Amino acid sequence: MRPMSKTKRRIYFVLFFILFLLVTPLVILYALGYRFDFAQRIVVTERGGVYVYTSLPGTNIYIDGELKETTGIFRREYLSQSIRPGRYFVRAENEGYRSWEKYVQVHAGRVTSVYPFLVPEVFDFEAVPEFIDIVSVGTSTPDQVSNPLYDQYILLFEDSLLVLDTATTSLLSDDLDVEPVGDNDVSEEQTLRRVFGKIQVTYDSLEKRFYAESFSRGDFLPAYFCENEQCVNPFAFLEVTSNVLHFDFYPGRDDVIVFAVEGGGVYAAELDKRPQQTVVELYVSSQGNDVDFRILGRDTLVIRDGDVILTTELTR
Amino acid sequence: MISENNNGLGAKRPPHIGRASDLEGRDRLLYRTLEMIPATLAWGTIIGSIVLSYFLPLWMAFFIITFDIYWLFKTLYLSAHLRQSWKRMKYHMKIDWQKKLSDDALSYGHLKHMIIYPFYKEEYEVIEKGIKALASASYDSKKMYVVLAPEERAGKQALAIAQRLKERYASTFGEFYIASHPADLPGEMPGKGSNIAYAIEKVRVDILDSQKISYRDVIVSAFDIDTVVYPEYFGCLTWHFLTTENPYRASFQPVPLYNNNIWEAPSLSRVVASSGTFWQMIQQERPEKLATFSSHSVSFQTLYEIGYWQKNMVSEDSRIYWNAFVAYDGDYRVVPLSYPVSLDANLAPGFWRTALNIYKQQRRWGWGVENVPYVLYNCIKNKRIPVLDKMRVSFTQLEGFWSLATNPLLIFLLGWLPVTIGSPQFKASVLAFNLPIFTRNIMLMAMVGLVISAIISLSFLPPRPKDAGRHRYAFMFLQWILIPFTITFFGAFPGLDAQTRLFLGKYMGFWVTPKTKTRK
Repeated sequence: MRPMSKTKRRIYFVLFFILFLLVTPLVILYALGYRFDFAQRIVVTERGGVYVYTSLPGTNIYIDGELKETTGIFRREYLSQSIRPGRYFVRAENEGYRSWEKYVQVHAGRVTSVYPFLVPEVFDFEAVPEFIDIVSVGTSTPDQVSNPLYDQYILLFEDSLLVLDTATTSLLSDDLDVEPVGDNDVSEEQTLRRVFGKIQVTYDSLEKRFYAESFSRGDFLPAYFCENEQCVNPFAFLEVTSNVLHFDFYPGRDDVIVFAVEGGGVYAAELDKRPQQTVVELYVSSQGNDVDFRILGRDTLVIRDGDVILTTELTR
Repeated sequence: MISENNNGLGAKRPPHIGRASDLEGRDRLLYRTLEMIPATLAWGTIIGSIVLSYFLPLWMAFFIITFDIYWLFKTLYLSAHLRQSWKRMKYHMKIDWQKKLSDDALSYGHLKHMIIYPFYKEEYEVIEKGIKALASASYDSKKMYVVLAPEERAGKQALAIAQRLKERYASTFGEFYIASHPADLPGEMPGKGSNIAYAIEKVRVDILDSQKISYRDVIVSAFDIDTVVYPEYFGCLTWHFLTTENPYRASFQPVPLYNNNIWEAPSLSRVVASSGTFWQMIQQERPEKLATFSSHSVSFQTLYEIGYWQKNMVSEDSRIYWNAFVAYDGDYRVVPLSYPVSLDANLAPGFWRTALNIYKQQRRWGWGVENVPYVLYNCIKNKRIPVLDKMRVSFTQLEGFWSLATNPLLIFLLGWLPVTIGSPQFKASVLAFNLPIFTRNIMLMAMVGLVISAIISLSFLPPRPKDAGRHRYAFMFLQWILIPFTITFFGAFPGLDAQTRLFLGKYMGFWVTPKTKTRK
């Protein structure tokens, strides 16, 4: 038995070579988002995509009201990469969470990414007592002593909005750079800047406005910086009526902030102001106190309501 | 007079260049430049991919997709060859070659088989296994001249083992000769090449010339020490020798199966070893791309004319083919036997030791890249080699070593780079989202080739030892899932390592793969 004949080998080679020449441009065009579209008169149209990611398993993802995906432990995303350019309504629902929805614009050849901000309907706050009971040896009645955990939390609040320094930043969050700065036209006392990755959020206390700014390479802007093809950087994404006492990025997200305002509330707000911009109440004082907060570690929200300290874990 | 056709020793001897420093002046500069080409191509591809991914991710994505598709079709194309090779090998293994020789009225009584086993510190049992297989082969053992070539530097123990084997088996074979290779002979690099070149010349003088045996009637099998022949190997070899047009312009290549200890070797070792077997099987169907590898056979006359194996380099097994190719101005080829010989898969005490040995062995094989400057240099210098042959062998060599060092990296690692380090604009494109999906899907489609590999590997397994459960068959099948890992860490990395050393002029010495005793 002889090795495969040259003729047979040549046939294989030519066959695979022709297939390679035919398939490669088709695959590249497909990967770029081009699709055959016999419904329209145009044979080939360029499509765009929507990418939805949430870390919460069991989230139902709808596009224009149609359920597209239910996320699981391993599959936490939905990608549609062959939809026609246009405006789509994305909705994410998960039991026990406030539903999230957003109108997004899909452009040809581009994928619009959204990261639903799903907030629990009810937060489970845990109070940290100021004093704790200690039963000494030989006594039957407990002594009340200061709770070191409470004292530690109180220390977090010693800084104020205007006097943040680098020492306090390490207590706040691993991911954040915090620096009190002054822009050319705004005095140091009037602004506070926080940076997470390539996104910077600035609060202007005179205008009572939050601004978002992107520093991505090559002038790239996240989709929420743009509306009707018009991109603005920086742009104001939130205006508040009361003075802001403190703000920070929501743990693990560069597109959501948490802020406390005078008059007793802690809120979370998306930077993405495309409708519907999510602005939710996380905590409101029942006593009418000014409420302040700090984010500790990777996901602990610490609330100070007067002398009361409360904590809860925020989902990332 | 041995034969009227015999030329003198080394009458056609090609230049025995081991490295650039063996040359002088401009030739040296040329050879040194050629030594740097393989690593330049490989590193150029890797660095180019990184730079392109950062600055022009779109173009890199086009390249990756094109390359993925090329790789898929290449896999299918090679799988077709592998399947054909498998059918042919199974067919050849069923043939009674002795009978075929008689049926085809081929006269072969005048032929002698000289089998050379060079060894270093291998144990008695490892060597005896090969000798035993020769003794029990379906071929007249009196026509076999067994040559044991221990290294003197291995100490008295090696010589004692050779003597012990001679005492036991001398009467079985036509001749049983021991040629102890002295240490530190001038102009030699310690290794298999210098050892067997020394041994064969001793045998020529002491046996062939003294018994007036024609060099043309002697077929030399240069075997690695762990080579165990299958019963019909010499029948098959003899038939091919007698039916090949001008067998003195050909080497004869069996398929190396690493079956000696396959049931004991870890899955990592099995996959790497079997991958090597499959590559050789594929090449058997593409003889124009085949060079000699590991254990192989060739006429003594040819070896004598070209001055035996080079003594100053590592990859003597493949270099002997290129020596002959250059010596005979391109009129030389490898005849694929499609018949196996069995060798040891890498096996050392403990997983990490085995992994390290596999890496070192693969790097030594990857050091076959030292043939690239030799081939290119001689293609430039030898004007008698046909231009088309020059182009063919140069391209085959360069493409082969480039593929070894870069293709797994392009498929499994660099393909994700544009999505990782590309610009944010690119990352937001449909193409960026599709790239990982396409790469993954194309890899999955290429799995068809893996399934074929798994089935073929099962079909060549030796009988299952009694202490190995039936479930081991399942592992033998499932082990192929390790392929992306093995071709990267035990293919691309050692290949790149070897090419980089050649680029830097940090020449490798001969590393002897440790062989350990296995169950009998």
